[in-house]
Amino acid sequence: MPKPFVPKIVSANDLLSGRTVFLSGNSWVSDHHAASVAASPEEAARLLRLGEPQEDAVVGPYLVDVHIREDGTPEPIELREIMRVTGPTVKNGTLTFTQDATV
Amino acid sequence: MYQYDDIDRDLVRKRIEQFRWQVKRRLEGSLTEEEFRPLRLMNGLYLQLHAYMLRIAIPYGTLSARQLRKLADIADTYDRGYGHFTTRQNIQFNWPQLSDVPDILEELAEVEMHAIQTSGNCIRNVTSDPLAGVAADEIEDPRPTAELIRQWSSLHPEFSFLPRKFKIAVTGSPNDRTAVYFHDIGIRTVRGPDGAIGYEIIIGGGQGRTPMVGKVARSFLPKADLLPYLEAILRVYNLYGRRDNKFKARIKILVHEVGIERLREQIEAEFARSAGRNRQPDVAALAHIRRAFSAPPYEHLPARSAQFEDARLREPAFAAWCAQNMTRHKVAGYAAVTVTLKKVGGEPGDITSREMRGLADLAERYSFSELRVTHEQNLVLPHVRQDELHALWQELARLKLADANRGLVTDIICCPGLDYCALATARSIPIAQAISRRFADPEKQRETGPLAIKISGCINACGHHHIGHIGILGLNKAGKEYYQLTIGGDPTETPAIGERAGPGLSAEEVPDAVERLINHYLRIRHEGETFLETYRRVGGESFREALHAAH
Repeated sequence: MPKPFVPKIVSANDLLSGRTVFLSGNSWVSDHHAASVAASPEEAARLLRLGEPQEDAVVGPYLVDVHIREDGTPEPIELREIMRVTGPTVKNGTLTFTQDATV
Repeated sequence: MYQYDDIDRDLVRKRIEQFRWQVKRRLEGSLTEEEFRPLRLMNGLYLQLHAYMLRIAIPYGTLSARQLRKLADIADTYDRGYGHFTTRQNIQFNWPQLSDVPDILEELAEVEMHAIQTSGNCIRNVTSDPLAGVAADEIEDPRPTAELIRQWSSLHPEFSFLPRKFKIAVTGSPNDRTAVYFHDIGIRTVRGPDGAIGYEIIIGGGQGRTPMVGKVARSFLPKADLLPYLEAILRVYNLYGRRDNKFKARIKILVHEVGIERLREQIEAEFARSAGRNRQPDVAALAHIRRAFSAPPYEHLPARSAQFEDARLREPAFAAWCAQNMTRHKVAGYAAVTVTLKKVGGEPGDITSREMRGLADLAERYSFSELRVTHEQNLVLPHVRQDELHALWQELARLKLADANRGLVTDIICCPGLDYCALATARSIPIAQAISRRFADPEKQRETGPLAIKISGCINACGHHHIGHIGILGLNKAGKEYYQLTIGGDPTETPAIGERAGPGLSAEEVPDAVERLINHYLRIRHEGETFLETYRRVGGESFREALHAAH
């Protein structure tokens, strides 16, 4: 039996800053909650095709598995992707990073 | 310290101009990412999880106060106010913007630094002993050799596209502080049968997914033959090293598959074949290099300083710091001091711009403006007068950099892990923080004695977990981080790769597991025996049983 489709968003790194960005409509945003969500393989392929040619803006667009929260916004599933949206979980000096007391 | 000559300056400047043009073309869209990626990597610019990362070489770990101050300025102007020292005597900035990188490189060039060959399949930053030139046990200062190799390997046309990256370390002492057995080429300075100084050449060491202890290719190589012999090794590797499989492309795999005897024959044949064609280094250039490492103007001081001894007796905390962080100097009346970047609960190897400036000031006042970077992610002030040690210690305390923990349980080597690194499979820094909090008590640390914990966030082993007395490898299983412990690794002249201590653990279980191993050691150790010595005496099974008894 084929695996059920997992919804997806498109992520990449911003060319200039290197920051994590997400495809929202036809533009790139830093808030993954605002990303366009693909609910089918066809839609995922279409979204990726939309992102891939934008080499002048971003580096390496790819599909990210997400689950949909109650408010309808996407949240990444894989640890690596969770890290990409939270940023480093450690703090240095005056920097303020999202804290995650997993350890 | 070595000062750039016109060739160095010209080479670095031209490379920056070239890269500025390449960045411009990328931003304008005339270079694709596929075209640009190898170009940025050749200039030390990676793209990590959250941002670009710029890796800057600190050749053989020598750093001037002026250079450290410049790194502080770069951290504040272009980054987020801090940097991270790596296990290969580099420093990394985690947040530069692509368009700023050419300007950063310009600023680095002002203080004779660059990021060339800190990535890519080429000869990387040549590393060496952080106590080079000052260690009392030294046969010869390894820095001139390391600098010679740096010059030879910089933009070497034949060796810029090797099957895989290539790392060389040089030590001048029998006591290895460079992990020389875990490099593609390790160079040990030795004395030959007639007392002449030469090199023992070790090849095929490394960590990563296939850890290997290097093997001796030549037990004694005359100094004059160094570059021709290195060329012979690189040529054989370039010819036979596997390019079909990235995971089998390092020279260690070639040594393993072909066998050291056969490979040695090939290297020697190539060495003999090309001996007539290889030119010796230019005599004037060699003299220039040697002069660069002449001793600073030390004063003639008594071997023991009464002021220093008094301070030690008066202040136990100072005495503890000296006992742990001070190393005997070859010059009477001086000491080398390790400043650990291993605060309890901190990020191993990270340094803020404020700390950089503070240490640059202290280096100017107390250490002839010189510092060293260690592969253990610490700094060394290499030339401190004994009678000024107490004043230095007080100044370090004001900077909160006077932890007396060099070589102890909280002096943890740790890679950036999944908090920063695009290759990582698990976080490593939070594990280091949790362990250092668990063992924060200085008394308990001293009671435990020398213990090297090393943590990597993936199988690539940048955190040297294979050679930790206790190694911790972060992996990912079904979306969850878990950690594999190893015990018994040794990076020194008695090299060993740690053996697995049992099944993987969750992040929460790691500090308890480390504590169980340490408590077991404390229970069974003989008088004066270190963790590693006890492990070697009783074997891994004893520790594995202790680890899993209550698990």
